[in-house]
Formats: sequence, structure tokens, C-alpha cells
Amino acid sequence: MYVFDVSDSDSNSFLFKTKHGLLYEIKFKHTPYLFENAPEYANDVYELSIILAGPETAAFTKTPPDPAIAYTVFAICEAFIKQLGHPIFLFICDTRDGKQAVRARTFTRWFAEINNPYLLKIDGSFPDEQVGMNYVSLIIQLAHPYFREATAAFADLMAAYNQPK
Amino acid sequence: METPTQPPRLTREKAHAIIRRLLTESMETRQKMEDEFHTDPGIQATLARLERGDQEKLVINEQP
Repeated sequence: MYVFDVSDSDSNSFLFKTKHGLLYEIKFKHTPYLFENAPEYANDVYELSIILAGPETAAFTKTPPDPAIAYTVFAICEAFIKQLGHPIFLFICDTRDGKQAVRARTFTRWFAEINNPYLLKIDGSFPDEQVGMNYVSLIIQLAHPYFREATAAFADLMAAYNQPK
Repeated sequence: METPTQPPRLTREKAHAIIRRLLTESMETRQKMEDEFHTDPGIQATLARLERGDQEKLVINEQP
């Protein structure tokens, strides 16, 4: 796992650099509208954004395999949990290059590798005319006080979205 | 006897509006992060600290 630090610009943003010189930024963006009908836990929801930001000038279309990245990303999530108590994370796969399915598989592999017994990941897929399929994962602590309600609400959102017209 | 109030069931339209907003904002956030990463002074200061290995200011973390 790599050493990480909170960004001086944003206390919800974390940075780390890998042994291959790759720079990552991990950001938690408050997303309370996901469960806007549930004020008990709507404020707990944060989108987890992961960007590979550098090195600025190098061509890095393929990153070398590095299991420490997954451990670092989830260690950052743990640090955020310690700060906030019961955040619920939402991970949305980037669709801009059409590789969202690959990202969803990678994220699932990461989650399996870190093997955190206190977290649950629920996957959702949302078909879209423009990009094909959007992959979204909800990550929640098993001990979240509204675990049952929040997971049910996510399932409801998926079901409602995928209802036929 | 009063029946407990149930929260309104999500409609297809409402679910689409929420997901559309989620996906749009997600893309905008990612783009903004990428655009600002190499120019934001706070990010650059943090990266410099990471490079120096300034352990006193770095987050102490443990493997999950």
C-alpha cells in the first residue's frame, strides 16, 4: 500500500503516487440526492471518484499491474469512514472511452482482493442509449445504522429505472 | 386505527432523473479533477510533500 495524503485544496480529496510514478487522485463528492426521500441516511452518500492523473507528459494508456493501488484506494475509504462515521460510497465507472465494463470488472476484482469483511458492495447497471451501459456500485458498511433501508432503496432505484415504459 | 405512512414509491421517470443527474455530475467531476490536477496549487503542494516523504504531515494509515 502507498502512503497517501489529504489534498491541501480539498479535505475530501486524497493523493498518492505509485512505484511506477503514476499519480492518483481519490475524491469523495457529496451526493445526497441519491436517496432524497430518506433524510435519515441521504447525507451519508458520497461518490467515490478515482482518476489517474499523471505523469503529465508520459503516455500511459496501459498501467502495469499493481495490487497496492487497490489497497491504497480502500485504505483511503477507511480513512474517510473514520472521519465521517457512516459514509455510503457510490462508484460510477467512467464511460468516456467506452471501457466502463472493463472498469467495473477491475473494481470488482479490487474489492475481492481487499476482502474487507465490514463492507458490502452492491452492483447496479443502468442502460443508456448514448453509452450502452452504465455501471454503478454502492459500498456500505454492514454496521451502517440504515443498512437495510439504504440497500433496499438502491435496489428500488435500479428496479424503477429498469421498468419498461 | 391509523396506518403508517409509506414513503412514495419511486417512479421510472424519477429514477431516470436521479441517475441522469448522477451520471452527468460524475462525468463533470472527473473532468474537473483531470483539468485542475496539474495546475491546482494545493494539489501540487500535496504532491511535493508526498515526494519529500514529509512523514509528519502525511496521513498515517493502516492496511484494511
